[in-house]
Amino acid sequence: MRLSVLSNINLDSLVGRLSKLNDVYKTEGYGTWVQEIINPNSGLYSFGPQAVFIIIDGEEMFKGQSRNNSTIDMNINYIEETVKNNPDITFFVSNIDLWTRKIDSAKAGSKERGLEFLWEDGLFLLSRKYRNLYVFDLKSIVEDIGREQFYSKKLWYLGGIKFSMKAEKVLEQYINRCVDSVKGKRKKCMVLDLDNTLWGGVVGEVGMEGIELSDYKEGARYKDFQKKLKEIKDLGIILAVVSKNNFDDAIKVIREHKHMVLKEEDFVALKINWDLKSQNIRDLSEELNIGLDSIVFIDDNPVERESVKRELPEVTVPGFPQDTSELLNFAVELYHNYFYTLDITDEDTVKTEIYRQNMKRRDAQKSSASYEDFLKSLETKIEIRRISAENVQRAAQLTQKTNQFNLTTKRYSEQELLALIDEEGFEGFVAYVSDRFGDNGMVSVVITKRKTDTEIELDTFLLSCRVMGRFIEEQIIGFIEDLYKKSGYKRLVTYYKPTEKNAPVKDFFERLGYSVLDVDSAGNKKYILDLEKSSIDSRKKFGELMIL
Amino acid sequence: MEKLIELMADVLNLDKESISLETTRENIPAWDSLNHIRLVAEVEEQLNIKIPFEKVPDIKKVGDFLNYIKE
Repeated sequence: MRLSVLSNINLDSLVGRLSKLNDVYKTEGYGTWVQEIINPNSGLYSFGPQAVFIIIDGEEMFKGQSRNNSTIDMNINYIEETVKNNPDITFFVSNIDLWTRKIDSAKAGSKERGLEFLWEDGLFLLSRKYRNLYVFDLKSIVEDIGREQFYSKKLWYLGGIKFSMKAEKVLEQYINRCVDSVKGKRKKCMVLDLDNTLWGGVVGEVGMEGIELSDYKEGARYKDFQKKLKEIKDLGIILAVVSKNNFDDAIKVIREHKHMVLKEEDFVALKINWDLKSQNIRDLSEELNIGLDSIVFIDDNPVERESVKRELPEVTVPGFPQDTSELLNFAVELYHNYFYTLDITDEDTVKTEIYRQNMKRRDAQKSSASYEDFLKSLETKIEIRRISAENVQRAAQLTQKTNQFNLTTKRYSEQELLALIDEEGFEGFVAYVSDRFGDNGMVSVVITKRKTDTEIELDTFLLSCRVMGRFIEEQIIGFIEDLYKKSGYKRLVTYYKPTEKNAPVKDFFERLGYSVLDVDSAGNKKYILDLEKSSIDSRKKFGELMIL
Repeated sequence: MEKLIELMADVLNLDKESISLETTRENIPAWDSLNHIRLVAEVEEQLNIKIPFEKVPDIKKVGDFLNYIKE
């Protein structure tokens, strides 16, 4: 990723570390961060970074300036201007640590805490106002390491470097983690063992009363671990259990033990049986329709871990702490390494519920006489709306994340989408799907572009993999065809642009009766549909369509 | 000593095999003034020793660090 680290102190050494994995912009000198961000013609903007980190040293910021609000307000204003004018760059701005080592009478007091707070408060206000700004929690890093270890006097006097090597390593990790999150590299699902993982002891041997799980002492290790896992789940990560146990023994603990923080409904699935764990995980990935590479497997037993690693190399299998008093820290580490989250959408908070409903749909399918009967029994409702400021966040997220059912795979940021639909000739639609098992939320984005008075082009057409295979796409495309036919258009032009992942829709338009106009050597296909000859009745229809 | 070589390799971004106690600053272009102080700081922090400020410029080869580690 192209990124930039700006500061009011010398961070060349840190920039060197980050350059191992990223393309990092190098500033001329340091202390010029304000000029770099304010001047639209600066080297920073011609470099074109995707993410900008602004690491502020508190002492340096106030050097030669009055230690009061005006210095803070001025800098916050610069940052606001920058963040507002560059909506497509993600900014991380640090809070500050003021280590004064002031020599003064005790009565003189210290207003440093107040200044630290004012700065952080100013940043948080901005981060609530602008989606592309995040607060970089430098102060917590300093507190966790301790000032004596975070700063290096020797490096400072030798080379004008303020942070110790240890501090740099932590900063490097923290920045790379933010970069991964901007890229959307977060894992989706955590698969958990039960015995000696979510509680202490083996329930099959010691019974529900014998396991360790409590508010205090030994059992609190596991309860604290569960609390942290619950927090991870609340950020939109789905949890599942894969455990070798008698189902009745284990489910009794989950349902009845009063110290179980994680309840049955917190898990998307409970695979408690004596089958191979790798087989259970493989089934899970198919049932949930998520890739094995988005699964993290947690088990205290090294033999199980090895077996899963060998059978399913795509699954991430971290070690398990030998010292179980480290479990709480282990959970925090798991969060940082695999599930670090910059921002959550409304969708994220109900993700487990959505996946649980999907599992129920699968069960319903198994008991239906035919697949068509099953689809009819779902009582699907499809609601089509125009893209607007209210729904653009999720629409943009879908264009960013949808890989399989995505005909052109054009990625849009919120700002780009809003700008696009404002343009003459572009129209954007989104579809929401619900059925008798629950609400799937927004699952589809369609963007069209007027080419001539008689020709309309499909810029984007995608569908979330959650609802694939239910012919929802046919109803949506049927709606689009019908809409433009009635508006007097004669031809609909569409495209298929191959990517590594969208092979499932390679022949989508062929199946719908479009004619192939052109195929190039890269496999890009251009299609045309004669709208005068098309009919909405030829599209498969299992749901009720509502246009809002 | 093993650890020292590892540290050097890491900071200078070189193979461990290419570094010995006799490796000098002049032999290695990557061992510039910035990396020199990074090395000193890294050795101090990781091996838990102190190299007096005044002695930092006197370190000319890898083996020189050993004076402080042994003491």
